[in-house]
Amino acid sequence: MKHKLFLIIVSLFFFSLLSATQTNIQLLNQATEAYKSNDFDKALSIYSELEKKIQKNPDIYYNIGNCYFKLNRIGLAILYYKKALVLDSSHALAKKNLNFALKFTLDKQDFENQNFISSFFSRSFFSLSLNALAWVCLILFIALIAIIHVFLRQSESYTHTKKMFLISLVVLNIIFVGWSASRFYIYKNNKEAVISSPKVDAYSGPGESFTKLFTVHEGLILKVIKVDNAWTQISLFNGFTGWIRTSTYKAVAI
Amino acid sequence: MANIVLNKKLSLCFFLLIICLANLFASDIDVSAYVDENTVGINETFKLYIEISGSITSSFEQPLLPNIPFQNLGMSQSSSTSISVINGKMTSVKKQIYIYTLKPQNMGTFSIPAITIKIGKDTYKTNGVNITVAEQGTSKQNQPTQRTTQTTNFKTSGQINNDDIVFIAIPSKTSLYKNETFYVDYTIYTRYNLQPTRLGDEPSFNGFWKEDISGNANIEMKETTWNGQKYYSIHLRRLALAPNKTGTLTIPSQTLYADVIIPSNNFFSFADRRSISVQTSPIKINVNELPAPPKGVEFSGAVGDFKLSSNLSQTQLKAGESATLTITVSGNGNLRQTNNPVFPDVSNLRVLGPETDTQHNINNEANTAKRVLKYAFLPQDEGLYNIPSIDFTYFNPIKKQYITLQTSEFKLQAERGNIVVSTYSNQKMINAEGSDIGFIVTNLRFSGFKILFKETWYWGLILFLIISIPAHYFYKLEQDKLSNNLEYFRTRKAKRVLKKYLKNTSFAYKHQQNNQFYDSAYKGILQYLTDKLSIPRGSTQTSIMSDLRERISDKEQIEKLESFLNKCTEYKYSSSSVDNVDIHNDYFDLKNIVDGLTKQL
Repeated sequence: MKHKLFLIIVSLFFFSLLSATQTNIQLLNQATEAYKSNDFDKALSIYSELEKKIQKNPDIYYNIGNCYFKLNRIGLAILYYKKALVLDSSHALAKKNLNFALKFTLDKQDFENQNFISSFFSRSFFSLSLNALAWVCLILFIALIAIIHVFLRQSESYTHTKKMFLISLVVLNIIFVGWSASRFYIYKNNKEAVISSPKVDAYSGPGESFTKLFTVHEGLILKVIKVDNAWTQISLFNGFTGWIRTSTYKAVAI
Repeated sequence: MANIVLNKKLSLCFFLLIICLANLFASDIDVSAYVDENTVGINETFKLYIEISGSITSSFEQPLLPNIPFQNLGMSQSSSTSISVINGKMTSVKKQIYIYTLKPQNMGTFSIPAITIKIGKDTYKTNGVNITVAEQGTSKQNQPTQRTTQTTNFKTSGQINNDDIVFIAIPSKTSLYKNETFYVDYTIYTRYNLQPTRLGDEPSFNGFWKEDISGNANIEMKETTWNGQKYYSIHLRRLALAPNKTGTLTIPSQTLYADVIIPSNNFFSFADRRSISVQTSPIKINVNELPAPPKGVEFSGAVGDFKLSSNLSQTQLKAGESATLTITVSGNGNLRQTNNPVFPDVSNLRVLGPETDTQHNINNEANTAKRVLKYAFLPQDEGLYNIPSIDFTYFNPIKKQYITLQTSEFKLQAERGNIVVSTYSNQKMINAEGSDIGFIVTNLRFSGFKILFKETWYWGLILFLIISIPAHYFYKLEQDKLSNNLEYFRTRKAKRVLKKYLKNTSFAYKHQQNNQFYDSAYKGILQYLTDKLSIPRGSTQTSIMSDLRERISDKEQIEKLESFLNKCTEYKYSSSSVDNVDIHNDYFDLKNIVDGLTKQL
């Protein structure tokens, strides 16, 4: 009796799981068809639904970004490409489309205006996704533990090559742990945001009575410094800081 | 008084001298009128010259033209003075010419009446001149005699006539075959000092292929005779033309802008510089169709006289190499409209090309042409290849026949393992024609996306790995202790061995196997004691018991043990059955003994 009940419960659980993925596949196919037939509104609504069901998927963010781009909402397109890249910084498609979409913003965002070394460094820093880093760290750590076990077993034969191997593994572990930690810190403390309103004025303080400093347009990527209810202090890539309305931008952080 | 007489005498002499001189000079003054052309066209202009020459002493005014049916377009004058001393008599001859440019207004024959010129007190009259105005002017041969008497190299009179500057185009041929090259020379003939400034807009040469082959030759003025007249000529330009149509074609007229320099006729005035434009007249060229080429002959399209040479770069090919056949066609004529000879198929031989290079007018020599064709051969397999001769057929317009030239035959030996490496290719760069965002991802993962650093299993695995190190370490320590100390090992093992035997006893007790029960109980207790007391195994019961008495003070316990062990030795070999009650008591006894021993030891 008990066994039967257990079986029913287990089968029900699997069935529900299966049917859930089944409906998801159906939804995805619908969205793909809609996108193919240039019905980007419909595709967008399906992808948004999927986004709520399947949390944190870079591909879905990427697809939503594409829909927004096709619907001429450059700001939101950039936001979603950014979101996809936050989850998977090695998402090649999202990178490509983000660079493409950035050409359409009214404000010129010159991120290439860095010297060779710093741009090379930042590119290398984000070359591996957070999960890829996690796997590398895990493998390196397993290797380190394994070699320590070998040392414990054969305590009497510490050869030079074995020592060098151990030292290099320790160094590699330190490097990758440091790299991952800083990347995880960036992931957790993502201050980036994208302007979603067509035109936004920035003031020297939280309120329109302050001096107007500059005007930014949809699609501009900025950094949030401080949120003070309806107003937010931001800084731009070129060093400008100012206060804009909190409703005019969307944070990248997921 | 004497002074007065002298003055009177001198004044008389002076007066007489003046009268004498006046008579002398006034005697030979000549006045004449003439025109440069007696017959003129209605649209042409002519010149009326009024010449006053002689020993002119007094001033005279410009002669006034009588009322004549000609339009006066302007007047210019020139003067010269020559002094000669003959037999001590000095004669000064002055010559003054007035030149009027006149244009007829009506047709017919007109006469210019005698013109009156006042020189001092005297009045002179010119002769009358008859002019015939026709629809067309007289041909250029009827040059007035005055012109030949010009003493300077260039004509210096201010009025330029139509035949003074002539710009002509002379073709080298007017009847030719299609695609045959000929030349047109542009020459300006002038009687004036002239500087060409520029050519007019290039006219369109319809039906011609054209090339300017004037080169950078200097514009030189040469003295020549043209149409029986003395001219200065400048060869301005040479065009190479080849008609690409048949029928009557026209070489269009070409305009030239030039500056005519008219030197000053007296010392104090500057030279006159006038801008003029002259045009060549269009030339009609008769172009004939080429005769039909003989059957079976592949006509290349070249017209002229050509030579052919061919050369193969290598006759032995190693792996990965290619040979180049160079065919050079050179000679007189046009090679631009020429088709390249088609290379016949040779099995297993890949032919690339030809790469062509055509040059015309080599070393600025007119009508020379050269075309170099390069074929690359890539053998696909080893073996001996026969490269056949290639025909090149052209039309010779002088001999009026088709002539076929042949290249030499070649043999090409290719070694094994030729890898075809193309040096000539038709590959093109890919050009972007549009740009858009990339397509959506359709096969996405439904499992969601998890950040591994936030997963429990990840950190659990890390923790497990970390713990495994001290675990291994302590395990290893224990192992070392055991391997170094056998007695320690035995004491540690003692309990385990006892448990094993007790298990056997309890099994035997349950299944009523009495012999088994006592046997295993006996062995178990003895072994436990030897291990615990570190006595060599297989020691006798009495020696064990004596050692045990030293360790344990509780005599009752030892007595109990001894009696139990005795009971065991008694029963373990007996075949007779033991009472159930007995074995039941003994089982509990064993338990008590073991409990007591483990506590005490």
